[in-house]
Amino acid sequence: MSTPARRRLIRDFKKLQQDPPSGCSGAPCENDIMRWNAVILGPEDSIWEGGTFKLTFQFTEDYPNKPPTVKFVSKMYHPNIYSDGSICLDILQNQWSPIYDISAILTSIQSLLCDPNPNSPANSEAARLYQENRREYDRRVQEIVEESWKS
Amino acid sequence: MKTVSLGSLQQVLLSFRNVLQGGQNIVTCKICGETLKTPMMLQKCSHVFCSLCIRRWFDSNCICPECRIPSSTGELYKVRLVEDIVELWNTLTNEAQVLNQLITENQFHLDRFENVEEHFSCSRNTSLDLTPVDTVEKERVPPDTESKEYQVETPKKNQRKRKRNPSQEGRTSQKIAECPICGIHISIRLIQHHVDICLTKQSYSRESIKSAELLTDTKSSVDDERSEASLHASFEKRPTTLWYKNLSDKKLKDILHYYGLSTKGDRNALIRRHKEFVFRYNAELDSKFPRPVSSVIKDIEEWEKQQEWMNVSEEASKLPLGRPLPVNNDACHIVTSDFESLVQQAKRTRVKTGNNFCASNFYEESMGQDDISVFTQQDSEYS
Repeated sequence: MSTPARRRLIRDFKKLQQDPPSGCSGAPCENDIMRWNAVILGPEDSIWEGGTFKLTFQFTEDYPNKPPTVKFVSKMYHPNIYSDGSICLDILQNQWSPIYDISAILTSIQSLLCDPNPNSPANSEAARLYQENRREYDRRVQEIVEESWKS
Repeated sequence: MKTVSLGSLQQVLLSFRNVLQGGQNIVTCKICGETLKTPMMLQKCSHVFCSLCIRRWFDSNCICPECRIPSSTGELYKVRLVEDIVELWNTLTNEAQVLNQLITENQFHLDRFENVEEHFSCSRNTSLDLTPVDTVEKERVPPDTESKEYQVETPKKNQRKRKRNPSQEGRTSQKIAECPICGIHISIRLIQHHVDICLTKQSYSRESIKSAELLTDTKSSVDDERSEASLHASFEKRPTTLWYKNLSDKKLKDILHYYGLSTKGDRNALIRRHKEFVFRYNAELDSKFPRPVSSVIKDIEEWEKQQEWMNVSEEASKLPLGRPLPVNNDACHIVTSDFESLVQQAKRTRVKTGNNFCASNFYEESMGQDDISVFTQQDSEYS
């Protein structure tokens, strides 16, 4: 059974395998190509370095005309990530374009880690610390990084 | 064949390959990722997409997917030259594929090549622990082809192959296999690639032949239904999506009935059906050889069946006992171990970029030895 969404996802998968962005990986779950697991490594030379962060993608048959729902499974501490793991990222909402694929999403999320946007906070405490007390913010992120090794 | 040096031929093929890879990017639709089908250009920014893809996108958006300039269905233009170039491209890649097969057929006898393959298959196996379809029985695949794509595609392709020729299965142990579509005899290692190419070629040429027959048809062999259903004459003007909120169910059904579509299902189904018909019918009108409206309707019926099937299987997977496998605990196990292998994969991408020089050198070297996918469109599309 192939629908446009599924065909496109197979293509995305091939592309991700052939040309993976640095520090990212992803694959569809068994039996369900509409559900993906992905891993983003914390960018090198940043406070996130060393972290391994797990995410899930849920696609619909409207993909690529509608973005997937992306959530962190790993616990996160970031101004633009909600406590349930949902991500506040423009390209996953109103700035979505069907030319984006999974590689592009993963790369965007990876760069979001280092460049938060405190003006649209999903975690107001993290946003406040990020702006007012960077040392404490870094410490909290470090905790998250260490926690990501365990789970 | 004996008078040609394989080495020099490879050189030519390699540079040719680069040209083809660049070209494939140009003729690939950025939305569906496939070679453009009925390409349409946007008036303001000149970006090109498949007619159907861009029409679906414009249903709920009004910007160009690539540059975000405000745009809409009304600004779609057909550029005959682009269409011809894509058509030429398809012919070219098919021809190149045949050429490539000839070369690789000869290369298979080289010992050097065998060594490279050994190396590749080893390194591949280690990275393939928990792939989605890891139970699929795998033949040795050509070295420079991504093994993952084989695994994903194999079940589907096999089904399609079987439909056409059930006897194909029994031949997998032989070295030479016959293509179930075009009947050419070809090495078993190449058959998968070849069938992919053949399938796309087949559907493409069949459609154009059929529609060409329809448009110019005076033969008695074509049945009435087909000859009367020429798309151009079907409706007075192009259908458009509607402001559905203002439409009663009855009116909606009348409209569907007018186009010859089924009126079954709830309101959402009716709206979806109408929209899909508008996209597909218009895309068909854009194409060089439009198929009759009855084919569009059949496609939509098929599409609805697929959607239904997907929904059913999705629902089933949500029920606790809907699917016999996997059991809950197992499922958790699969997901966690899956993440573990993903972490390993992600780490490897970093190692790879660190040793970029060596890796790419080796890659090129292996290309020179055996270049099975020099011209396969499947591969070059993703470069």
